[in-house]
Amino acid sequence: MRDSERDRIFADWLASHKGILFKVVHAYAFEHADRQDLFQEIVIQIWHSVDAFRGDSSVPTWMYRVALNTAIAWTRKENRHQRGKQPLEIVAGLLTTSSEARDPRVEWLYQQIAQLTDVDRSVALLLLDGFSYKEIAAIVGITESNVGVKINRIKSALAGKRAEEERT
Amino acid sequence: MNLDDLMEVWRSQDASPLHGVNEALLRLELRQEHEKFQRTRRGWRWFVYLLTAVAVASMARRLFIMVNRGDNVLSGWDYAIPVVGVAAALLWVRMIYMKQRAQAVREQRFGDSLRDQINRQLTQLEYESMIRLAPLLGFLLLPIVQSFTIILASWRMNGRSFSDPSLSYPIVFNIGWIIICVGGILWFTRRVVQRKTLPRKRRLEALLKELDGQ
Repeated sequence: MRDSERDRIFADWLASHKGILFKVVHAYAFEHADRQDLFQEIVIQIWHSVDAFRGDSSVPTWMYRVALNTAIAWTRKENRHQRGKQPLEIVAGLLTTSSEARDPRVEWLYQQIAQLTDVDRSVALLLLDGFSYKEIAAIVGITESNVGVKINRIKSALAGKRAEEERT
Repeated sequence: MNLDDLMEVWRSQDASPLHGVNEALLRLELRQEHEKFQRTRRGWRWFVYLLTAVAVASMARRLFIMVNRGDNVLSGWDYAIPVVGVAAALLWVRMIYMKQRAQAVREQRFGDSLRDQINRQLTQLEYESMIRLAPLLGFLLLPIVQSFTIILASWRMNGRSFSDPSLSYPIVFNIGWIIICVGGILWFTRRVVQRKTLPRKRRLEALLKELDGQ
């Protein structure tokens, strides 16, 4: 694949599905600098993986797959907060913050997701974005029954937290 | 709030994303990444080519000088030394190439799921450990043989016989030096593996367990 073609495909994907990347970044990184760092890693990974996309799955599924894999690998990297090698303006400015007020319910969801394990976080993101058990199983690489168990646990954790907050 | 409500709340982000992307900087970053990737790949390829060329040229030069020395009677061993040296250098490069290819084939067997990615990273770490640890000695044997043949060839070029008793001290010195170098490399790589590779491997294995956990 020619570089210009790869750049064009990548730009199309990013324009249409960047929301996926923002969700993954927010679920796995909690500081501004970390979010910039993770976002950068994910976009680079997606750019590299354009050649490997064979069309077996939809583009959003593929992007979720790459983004989650990168995010989980990133959380396990040492020195991930010490990205001193990149020019400062790139680290600081790749991801711009929206000026619109955030929905507190979305913030609440992110807070709950942050308390899950890395794998459960992936399952929760995919579940909330409407992926089927079968698709989640294929993306994460576990059995459908295991997905079911994890989803039940996530649901009861969310419901329990909600009930607890309503009581207080 | 049931799951449908949560999903609706979640999807509200799509209408008003939390972030935007600075596209000019992104393009710059990707260009830099592409150049870095190409540079690294090119660099490694040329490093191996250069190393082979230097090793082969050095042995060929010695062979040429030995053959063209009119004042020295050459034995079969004198010819064997550079031939063994060249063969060791070529075999070493061939081994590196085969190992890299085998690893690439091994990595391609995995799919794209998270589990496959973890397994792929584990094989990469195992490959790193393998290169760095146990068979390192075997892996280094060929360059050692090559270095040793260079030393032997140099002596023969100076017209010195292997039965010359004054050579026993330099032979012992050179063997000792090679052992110290190999030992140093082994010690250093073992340290790197223990400090960096093994903890990362354990974290990935823990993640695999987390995937299987219900």
